[in-house]
Amino acid sequence: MQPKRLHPLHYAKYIKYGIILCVIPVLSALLIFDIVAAWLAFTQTLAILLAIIGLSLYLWYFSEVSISNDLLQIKTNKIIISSSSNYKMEMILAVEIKRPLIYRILGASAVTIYLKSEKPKSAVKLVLKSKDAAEIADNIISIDKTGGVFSPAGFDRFIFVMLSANIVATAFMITITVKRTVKVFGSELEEFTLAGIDRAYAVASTFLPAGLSAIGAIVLFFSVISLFFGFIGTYGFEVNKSGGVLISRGGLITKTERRIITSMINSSTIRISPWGRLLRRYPVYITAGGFKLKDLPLMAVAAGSENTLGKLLPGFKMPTKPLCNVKRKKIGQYLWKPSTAMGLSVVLCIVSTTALPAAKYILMILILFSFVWLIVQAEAYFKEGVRRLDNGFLTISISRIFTRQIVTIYTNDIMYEIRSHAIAAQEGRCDVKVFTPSSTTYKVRGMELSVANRLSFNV
Amino acid sequence: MKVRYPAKAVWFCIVWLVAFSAIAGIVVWLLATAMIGTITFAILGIGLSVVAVLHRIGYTVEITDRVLSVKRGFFISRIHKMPLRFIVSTTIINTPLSLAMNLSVMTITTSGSLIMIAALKSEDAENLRQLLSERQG
Repeated sequence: MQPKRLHPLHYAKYIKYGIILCVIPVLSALLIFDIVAAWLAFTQTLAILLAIIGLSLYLWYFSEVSISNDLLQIKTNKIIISSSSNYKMEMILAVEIKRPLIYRILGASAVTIYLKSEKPKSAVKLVLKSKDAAEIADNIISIDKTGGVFSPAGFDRFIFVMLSANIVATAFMITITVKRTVKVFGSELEEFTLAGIDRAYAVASTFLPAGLSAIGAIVLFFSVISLFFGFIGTYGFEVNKSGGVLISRGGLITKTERRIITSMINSSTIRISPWGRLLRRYPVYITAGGFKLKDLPLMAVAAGSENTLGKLLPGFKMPTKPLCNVKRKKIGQYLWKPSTAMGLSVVLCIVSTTALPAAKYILMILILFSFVWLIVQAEAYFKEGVRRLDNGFLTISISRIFTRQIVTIYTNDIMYEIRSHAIAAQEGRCDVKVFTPSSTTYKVRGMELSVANRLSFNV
Repeated sequence: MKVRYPAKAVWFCIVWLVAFSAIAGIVVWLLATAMIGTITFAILGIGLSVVAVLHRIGYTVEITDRVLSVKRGFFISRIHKMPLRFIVSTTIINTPLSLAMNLSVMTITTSGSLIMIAALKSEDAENLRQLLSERQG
């Protein structure tokens, strides 16, 4: 493959900070209609901006990406020090091509190359011309065009969006964005956001009691935005399989394509959340070395037909035998946290009926949440455990707050930690932690000590 | 191969723990009074030293054909097991104090985890590293 030069957008981060540095003083002078001061600020900051642009152009001109002899080479010139990084092709397990709108207009694509190990580097990010990005991705992980194995449409797509929507993450993201943008553009955006919440509050207060309508408004506002982002992100979403490669594509504004080598996948996780239980669909997430699916699930499987996941992940099987011995477990280990939370909420609710009636409904929500937590942890008492299946893969069932996770670990590159205090050891009980190459740790509570000691590696 | 925790490693740990207790004592002295600082130093120093002595009981590093297992802990027993094939690197750390006591601190890493073995005899640490590199392939 002929060496390729990086796209100038690769160095946009340097120019971006330069522009912010230059624009703010000019804008602040313009806002008070002081043209002389604005011109002075402009001439002073222009030199800085030009220097940054010149430096970026210099770096861009001497950049080079090439693939030869099963090595990916990235050469960069850093004025005094020039560096050349080599990555063995066998160490690469996934490639992600992202094309946000601005990149598409400028003919660029961001390519992220994920490596087998988390340390010292889990991924390499490059911005290249779209044609070069496609060529490099094809050289690293080649694919054939095949039909979609999973492409949600109609109501299925709606369910997929609902499962992948993360209200908490969206709320956090919006708050940070608004705060950062307010610093540059003034308080209009903040007012717009507050007006949005006010409108949601007006809607919520028509059918909710006074104490609940404020929470209802915030949840409603962020849910709508979260679902909106979800619909945009899952536009044209499909998952294919081409030989030993998983391909997932989708997105309306930012088009994303991910190619993952199936044999390199470390683990798959089926997340059974209360929301998923109601919709009878469970999202599936995967990890492979430095690659983690965070924003979107790989697919959603219907309740009861989880084994269809085997079409994408060879060897995947739901456990048929129990993963633990309930007789060895102590129910207190699972229930003490939710029952404490529930007890406290009930006490506070009783107190609030006389002391602060307006807070009663908010505390009722807390009681409801801790009740759901209690039920999920009671289920964990019966189902949490770890076992090696007949096909050699390790299956783990764990429950964290409201969500039960069924994890299948395909790699043997793991570490076990068996932990028990004196009383638990005497009763033949322990906790097991499984460390994976993706730096994800799964903790299984109340395992039978003899079973934990016999946990093996298929090597 | 089975390696045990040498008795002098306990002294090595105690020196570090006493130094830590002294720093904690000085901080408390600056925040409160000299008396409370001294009491904090004494309680922490004695308590942590007792923990260091108990920690030695049952502390073993064992290498079988395919698996490395490290067993430790008195109040809470912990067993770490990892397959030798996936060990990425081993590091031996020496300080002037550890060199004087002929001890070494060893870290063993895989792609997703790390184990630190507080103090082994220097020759045991070298033998362990040698054996690990032989069996890794």
